[in-house]
Amino acid sequence: MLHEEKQNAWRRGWVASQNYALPRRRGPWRKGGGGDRNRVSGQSLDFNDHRPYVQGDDMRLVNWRVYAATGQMVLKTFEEEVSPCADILIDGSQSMFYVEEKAIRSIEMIGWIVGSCQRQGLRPNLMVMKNHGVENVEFFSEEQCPNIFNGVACSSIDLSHIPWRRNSLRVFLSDLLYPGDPLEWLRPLAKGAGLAWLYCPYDESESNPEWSDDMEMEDVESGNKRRISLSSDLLKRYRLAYERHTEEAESTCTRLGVFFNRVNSQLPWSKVLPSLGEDGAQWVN
Amino acid sequence: MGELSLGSPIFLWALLSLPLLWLIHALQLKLHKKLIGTLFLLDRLELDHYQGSRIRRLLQSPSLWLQTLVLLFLTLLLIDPYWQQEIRTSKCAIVVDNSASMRAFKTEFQDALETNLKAWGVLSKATDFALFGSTIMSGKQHQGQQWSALLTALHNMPLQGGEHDMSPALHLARQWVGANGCIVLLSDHPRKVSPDVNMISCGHKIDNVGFAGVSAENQGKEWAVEAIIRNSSAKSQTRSLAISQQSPRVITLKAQEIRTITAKFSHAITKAQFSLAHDAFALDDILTVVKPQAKKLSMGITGEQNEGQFLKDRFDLLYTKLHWNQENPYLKITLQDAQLSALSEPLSYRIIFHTIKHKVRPSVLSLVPTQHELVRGLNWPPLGAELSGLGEISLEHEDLVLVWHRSLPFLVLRSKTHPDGRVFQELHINTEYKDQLWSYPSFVLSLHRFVENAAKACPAYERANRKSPTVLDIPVKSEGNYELCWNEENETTTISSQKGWLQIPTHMESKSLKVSHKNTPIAEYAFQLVDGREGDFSKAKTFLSKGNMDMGESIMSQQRSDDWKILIILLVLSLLMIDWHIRGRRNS
Repeated sequence: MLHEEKQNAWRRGWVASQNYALPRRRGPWRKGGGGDRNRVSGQSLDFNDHRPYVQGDDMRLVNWRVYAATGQMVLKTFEEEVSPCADILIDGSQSMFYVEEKAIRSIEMIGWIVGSCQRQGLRPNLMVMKNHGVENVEFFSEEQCPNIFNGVACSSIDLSHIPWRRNSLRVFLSDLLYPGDPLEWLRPLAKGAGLAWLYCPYDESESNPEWSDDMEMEDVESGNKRRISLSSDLLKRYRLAYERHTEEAESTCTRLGVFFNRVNSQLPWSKVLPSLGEDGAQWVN
Repeated sequence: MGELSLGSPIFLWALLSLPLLWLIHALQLKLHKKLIGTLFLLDRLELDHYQGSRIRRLLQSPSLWLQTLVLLFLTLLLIDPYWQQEIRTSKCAIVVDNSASMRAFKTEFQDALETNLKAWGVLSKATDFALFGSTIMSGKQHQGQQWSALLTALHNMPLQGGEHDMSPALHLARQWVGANGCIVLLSDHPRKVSPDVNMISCGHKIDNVGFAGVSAENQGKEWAVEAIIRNSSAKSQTRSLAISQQSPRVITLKAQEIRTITAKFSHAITKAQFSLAHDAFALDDILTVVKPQAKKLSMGITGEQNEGQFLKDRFDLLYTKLHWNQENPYLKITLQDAQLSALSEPLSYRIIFHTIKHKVRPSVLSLVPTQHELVRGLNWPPLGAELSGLGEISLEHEDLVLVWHRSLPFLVLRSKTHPDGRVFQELHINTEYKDQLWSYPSFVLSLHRFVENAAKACPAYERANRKSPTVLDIPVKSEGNYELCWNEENETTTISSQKGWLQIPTHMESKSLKVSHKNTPIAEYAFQLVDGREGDFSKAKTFLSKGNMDMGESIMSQQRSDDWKILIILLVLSLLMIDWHIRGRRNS
């Protein structure tokens, strides 16, 4: 893929973040005197709401004026001030970039996620997962994009050593084409997360291939080769296996409270954007 | 039962390209490599160990099968198969007396023939009819199985001969029908024939009055015609007589009377017709008299413009109208005043005019052949032969001095023999006495005879020689092997027919050839030349008609149709398109 094509893809994603924002409507955002307000009650000076007193509540918060007038103990609640942050993890494996359409879609997604976080003041921490490690990208720009996303051979996945920040908005972009139990990989993503998103780009050539002859398959990550005698039965079994793998990942995400979203690389970017959130991406005025 | 035959079995060798095609595909066969990110999913499927072999993958290649089909179809097109069906027929030869008197009884003969053939049971089964004229030169007039076509041919048959011997025609008919066939002789006179010939005779005496002779005389401004009318019957006859467009008048002739009628015509009238009222024998009822006219002579003239114009003027002056046919002359007259080089151009016949400087030097010491066909009966009164000053004999050609003028050969026929056996003829004319030359009508007539001979012989002669002088082409009706017997020897060789022809390589020393098919003799050839020369194979005469091959009762009929070839071609094109599409998809 050409340098310019990668830059253009990044630019498309970045521009799209002006209109569509990363969904972030729930989650205990990280405290610390930030400029953003959380939905849960907090200790700021801004009045939020009243609620009935329950045993154990701080007596200092009882609205005595209401008690004097009505005889009911009502508590005043104040909005909590939070300082939200986002941990963005990009799967840098070869499988993300070896198909051109998928690579373009992945870079568009990265541009959109990073742009969206920056526009919402989420202090993004961008990390690229490489084989047995993670690389922090301190300053991310359009020019850097082509050099970062070249793809590195990555035969396994381990999110346990990723330096996630507590209560952060976590976004993980990966095709999930790894062997093993998705629960084991994804548990660290959900643990301690304020809100977690998993965007999974995929290509039709992987999910629904049209192989027509005997072939020698070479794994893009490990370089392992395997000869297969193609038959309609084999194709059918492969498609079923792919479907099960995806369903397993999705059900694991549901179980862990991670929002899962598959992104088709064949569809135009403009059509993909509205479906990126839980109920569609947020519209930014 | 029919059998399948191949028009060109040699193209079966094209099937050898099939193993070649398979070999090419096997060598080109390689496993496609594919980079994927989901190999672990394939590993989960617990696939059997890959056991792909070249042969199995070859068998799975649609492109190979399509190309194999294309090759098979193309081979089918090339070998040109057709179906031969044996049809059993009987044969019946009808020999018709060619004498002119038969014209009076055409209708009776048709009825009698149909009645008798029905009675003999010939018409009730499939019969191959042939119609022969009783003069041997007329040969076979018609052949076919349709009765109506035979009657039409019988009706249209030219009957204009006189009394003649019928045994050669009956012999020819017997050869054609074979031992078991039926021969019918139609004649208006009772004749003695062999027992194997069925005679149908329907003649009877008729009262005939007709023209018996004519003479024309130039009487200054007019030309007079005297026509002789004869009453052949034993009774007095009355007929109406018309001369050209004049109103008819009635004449009465006594029994066996001969009367002369005279009519005069102006010179402007070139054609006159005397006609009597028709009787049963209509041949002598019309007498057409044509004033002598100059003949048309087709030739192309090459040479100097002036000489060509001179020749044209002279021919036009005499009794000849020269018809210019420069583009496609069957005879080329070359005006040339140089010594000829032997066989400089592939023309068999030509007329060469010599000037006095380059007069022809005859090389054969011969008397003037007054009986030669070119000069026979012509009047050359002032010409005489004084043999002197003749040149040496040349081996390249033979000269025959037809006419001498004083001491010089005036009209010389030169024959040249090419090393390959072809014979060329040139008529050399000495133009020393150019002015007197054109005053001889005999000279023009000789030219006419030469041109007519050339017209008759040259095209066929050229055709025969042009292809290959060493191959004898014989048309045959059924494909298969034919036995050849050379020079009356016992040993035979076998040759296969190719698309209805036998192409027999010949040798100069061969004198005779017998051709048989399945031990049935079908033709005999003796290599004798028409003009008695030896060695020229191409002018061989066929002594037996090739109709001999129809001897016996069964013939093989070819049922050929080319419609299926168009379908095959369309199929081949479709297969090639599909193959191209598949390969395109695979490459993409």
